[in-house]
Amino acid sequence: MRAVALLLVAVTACAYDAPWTPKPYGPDTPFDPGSPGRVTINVGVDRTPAWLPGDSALLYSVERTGDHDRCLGVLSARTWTLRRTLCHGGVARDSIVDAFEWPGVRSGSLAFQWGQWAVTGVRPMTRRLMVAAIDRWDHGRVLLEFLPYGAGLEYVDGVRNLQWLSDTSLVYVHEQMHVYFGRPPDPPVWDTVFAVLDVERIDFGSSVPVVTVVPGTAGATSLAVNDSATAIYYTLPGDSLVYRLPLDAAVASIAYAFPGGVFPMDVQVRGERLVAAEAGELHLVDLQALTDSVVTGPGVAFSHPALSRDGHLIVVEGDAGFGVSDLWRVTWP
Amino acid sequence: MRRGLLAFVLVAGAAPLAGQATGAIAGRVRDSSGAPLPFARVVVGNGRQGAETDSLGNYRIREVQAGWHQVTARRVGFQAVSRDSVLVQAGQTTIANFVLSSPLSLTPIVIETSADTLLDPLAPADVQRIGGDEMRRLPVTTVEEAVALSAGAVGESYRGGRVGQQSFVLDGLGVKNQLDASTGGLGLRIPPDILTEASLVTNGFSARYGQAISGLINVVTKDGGERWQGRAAYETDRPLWASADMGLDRFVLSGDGPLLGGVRFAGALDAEARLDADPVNAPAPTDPRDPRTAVPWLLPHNAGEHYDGAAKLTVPIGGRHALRLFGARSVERRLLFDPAYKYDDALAPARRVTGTLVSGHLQHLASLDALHPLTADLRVGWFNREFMQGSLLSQPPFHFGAFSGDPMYFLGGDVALRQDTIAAQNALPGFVPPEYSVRTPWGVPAFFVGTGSRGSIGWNRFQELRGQLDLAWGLGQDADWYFGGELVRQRVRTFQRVFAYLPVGDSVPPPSAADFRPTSAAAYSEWQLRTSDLGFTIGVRLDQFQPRSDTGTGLAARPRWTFSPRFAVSTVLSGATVIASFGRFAQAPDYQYLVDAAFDDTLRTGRFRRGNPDLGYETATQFEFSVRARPSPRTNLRTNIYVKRMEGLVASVPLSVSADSSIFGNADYGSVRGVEALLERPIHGGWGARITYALQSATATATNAFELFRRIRINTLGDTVFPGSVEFPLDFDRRHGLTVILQGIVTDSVVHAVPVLRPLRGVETALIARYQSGLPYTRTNAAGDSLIGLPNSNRLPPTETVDLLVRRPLRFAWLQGSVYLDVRNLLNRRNIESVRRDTGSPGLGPQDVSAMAESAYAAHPEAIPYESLRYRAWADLNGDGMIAGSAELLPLYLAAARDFAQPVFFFGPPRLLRLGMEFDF
Repeated sequence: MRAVALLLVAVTACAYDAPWTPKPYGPDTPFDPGSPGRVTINVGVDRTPAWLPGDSALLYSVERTGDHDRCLGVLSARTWTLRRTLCHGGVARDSIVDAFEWPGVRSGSLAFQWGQWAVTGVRPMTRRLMVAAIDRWDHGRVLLEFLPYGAGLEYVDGVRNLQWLSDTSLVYVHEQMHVYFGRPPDPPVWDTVFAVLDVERIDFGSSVPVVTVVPGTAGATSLAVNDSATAIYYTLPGDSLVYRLPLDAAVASIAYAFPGGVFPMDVQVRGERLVAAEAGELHLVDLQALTDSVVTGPGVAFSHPALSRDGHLIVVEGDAGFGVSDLWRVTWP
Repeated sequence: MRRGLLAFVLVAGAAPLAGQATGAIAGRVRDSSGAPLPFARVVVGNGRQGAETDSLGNYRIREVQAGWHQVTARRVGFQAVSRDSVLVQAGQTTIANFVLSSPLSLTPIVIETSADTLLDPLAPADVQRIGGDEMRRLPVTTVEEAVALSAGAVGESYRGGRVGQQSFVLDGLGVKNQLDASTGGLGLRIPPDILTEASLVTNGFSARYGQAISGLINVVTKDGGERWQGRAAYETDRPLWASADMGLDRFVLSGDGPLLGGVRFAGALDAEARLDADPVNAPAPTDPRDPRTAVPWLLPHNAGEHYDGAAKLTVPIGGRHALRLFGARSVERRLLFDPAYKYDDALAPARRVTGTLVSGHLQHLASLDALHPLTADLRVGWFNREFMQGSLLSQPPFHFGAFSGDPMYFLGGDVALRQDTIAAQNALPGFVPPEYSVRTPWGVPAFFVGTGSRGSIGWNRFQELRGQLDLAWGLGQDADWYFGGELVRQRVRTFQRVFAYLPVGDSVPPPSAADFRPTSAAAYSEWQLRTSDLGFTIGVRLDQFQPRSDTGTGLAARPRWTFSPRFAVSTVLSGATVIASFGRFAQAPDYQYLVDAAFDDTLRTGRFRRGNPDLGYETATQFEFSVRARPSPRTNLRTNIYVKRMEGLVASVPLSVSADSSIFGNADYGSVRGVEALLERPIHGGWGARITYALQSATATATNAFELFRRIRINTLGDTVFPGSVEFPLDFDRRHGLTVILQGIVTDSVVHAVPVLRPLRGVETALIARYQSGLPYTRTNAAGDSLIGLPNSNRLPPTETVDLLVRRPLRFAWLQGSVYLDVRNLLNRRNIESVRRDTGSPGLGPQDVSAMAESAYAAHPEAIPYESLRYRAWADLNGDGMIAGSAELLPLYLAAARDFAQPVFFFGPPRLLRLGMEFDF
């Protein structure tokens, strides 16, 4: 009888888990834990980082070495490993190179630019502004589609610095890509030049998206949105000022003035902290104390920084001069 | 002795047909002086069945339901005599002789009963039976396991027949998965607790039964008793140590008893779940990074659960009619371990099979005083089997042990159920291409996949409505006539789609679907005749089936007919019963061969196989010579020698030089020759034994309709031939099979003789030892060319197992029960059940593994950066944060190849233990 009781007791009513589950075999620390420290070592290009809500991870454009597609990578800010990649199609080589760039995230929504290139092409066949739910990112909505234009179809427009204002509106920098074949006295090779048109806002709450140009932003070199999405920050070419424009106002104010000769780009603002890239260096600006700390990359030029929402961590592109950028990490205590 | 046996022949009358749910009771009634008593009435149970004795005092009661019965003999002027426990076995005649005394006489009542079905010369069938109670005393769990103990059985292959060439007869009603019995099983499991007995009939089965060419599995369920009783049992291995803990739980609940109005009920539920439903005794991997190293006894994503239930109502209608309503349902849900999904199993394949049977049986009994008693049985049965396999929408959660109760929803399941071949031309929603997993210890993009399914969804449903009328007419003490027939209406629906994440085209075959309604009919007549010292069984059976299928292939489906004569003659010589029998048997082909099929395994079959709706019957003709004897009063010996010729077996028939252009056809043939011996000693004096041995040689022109036809192309002289012209050993040819069953019980007499055993009083032990020589196989290379010798000229190593069951009685309050330990493969033998055709051993050789690794590396030589989930620090030899080049990458690919190529399923099960307790109430 005792045996029966023991048997009953021994058989726990709980259910089983799988016999075993794979361990997290990959790394769980950044490759270089210092600051600045290199985070990615991808053979391809890593660009345009953007923080996810909660600062737990970043999205960035990562070049897949197999077919050179540029996917959106989800980089864990805990283990600093690439947890997931969002790609168009499998790794099998096809005739199209897809490029996902400039991700912007707001709660469960994702916006990004999707460019498609012929494998042998020198310019995109198309570039699209996409929005999607993150969990169904591959079932997105095309808000804008840019096709080549010009006499020789040498121009293609696009977007950069995508930022969310609300669930149904975005701001971005409208850029123009010009791909041309050099004629004397230029070298006889293909060359690409980017020109910025302006900052634009797109509202897509209705079936037809509405695009509005933000006044005074012609030629803007960067764009940021404040924490409450009530104002934008932008910079202009050849200008050492960072402008702040409340969305309900018509006139911009000066958020910060760099010394003369310092022409900031790629600003990011969180609370009272502003970060900007300028000539390959990072400027960490305390807007309250009006102090500026400069961080120089060890042999790399920084660009396109992404400032975490708590303002203490910056992930930035670092290019050693080969045109193949990686991501770096800079802590800001 | 001979005269006594001949007298037995006379009183026994004809033995009922083998392979059915009823038997007979026969005997002689005498007075105390030994004189025969004519006009005595002998009745079964409550008197609804019975017979009167003739002028010689002989009687015979036909069509008595198998099981235990009370039999009473009465005659005016004599005291009635009853015997409570007369066991009637299906297809057999039980002898019950009575001596009646005058009520005024002081002579004590003498009851003489005996049952010697073994020597019954009018039972020509080879019947190897196991009772429901006996199943509980042996280390077996299912009917299939019990039947597999029979001589001539290799798993579910009987006497060299292919899997699926047997028929399942449940209470006299044929039940068969006519769609894919050769590959899919019946889908219906009868809980052993509702069984009276199960038996295997390998020859001489009655002309009443068709749809089989290798054997009948005859199952008889019990009627509800006259008082309520039941049993509850629970088995588990979860309290055991790690390697013995397979996460097994099994619940059994059964009961039977009377309801209102004389209606009686019997029912049983049997539910089992196991974390690893198909455990294997595969060696642990050598690489410590392989997570299986720590837990080598369990495979992930290999859980399974099944629920089997059955219920029966017995409704008396008047004095001479009875209605039996039976229902059974089985649900089996399996997660299927797929090595490619070892590390990302969310979209690994799974399977669900359900089977439902509802049947009614109306029985008309002869009047007790009928001179030529006529019994009639009308049976109607509806059988439904549904199969689905693919990837699940979500993995089932475990609730209790491995029980999930999850109904399993499949990706693309709705399209499959609708058989929507138009929608299935496109990529199906929810399917995404599988990508190489990043969750492996090796990291490299090779072999292991995840995030996408294999892209296949398969579904089929087989439904059958069967009506069966069987009549038995007693033509006197020397002859019986059995006749009847059946009508069957079926419906077959199938759907199959592979690479469902891609639209149809290029290398993606179109979805295949079929929906047709075959019909079949049969009529039979069988006579059993007795002369002074000879018994004859003469039967004929006419079968017809019409597929009525239109698969769009342009091939016409014609109705098919076949005629099957069966004959047996028996007599008694020198105290032994000698039987010679001949029979022709036929079965319609699996309907899966009538419809097109698509596959995703080009190594096996090609991508597409054309169905052939014009297939005909598969047939077998068997000659057999049997001798049964009793070397001693407590032992019996049976030997059978048989030769079986099989014709018209379904095979792949080439249409051209391409494997993909072959078609199914009735092209295979083969032969089986064998000797079987069975020595049995029923339990007496505390022990019993049963030893069976089979020597068998089975050959055929091909062994699998799905095999590439070009694989077999060399004859015994080494000449290249058309595949259908030379025979090779069959896949099921075990050659030698030995099974020893020993049973013991520590009875009071044993304790009295050996007092030291007193603590073990009542303990029962059963041991099953099995030895089987290896199966044949063919060594071929990837092109299908024979590497060494002829096709199937190699054999696997022999297999040996020892199973043990120890049971100790237990009393819990007012309940009587027992606790028991059931051990399978006690010695933990690592039996090899298959080998690779190219290596002749389990798994690939080192060179092949290296080739796999190098090929995978060549496909993906790209470097792995530090931030990648594929990065493995131990492989970054120079510590530069990049795994690059063959020096760093190739070891990873090699380890991955070794992991992937582990020969997991090449081995039989390990030692399996289960603790159980049961209570009778």
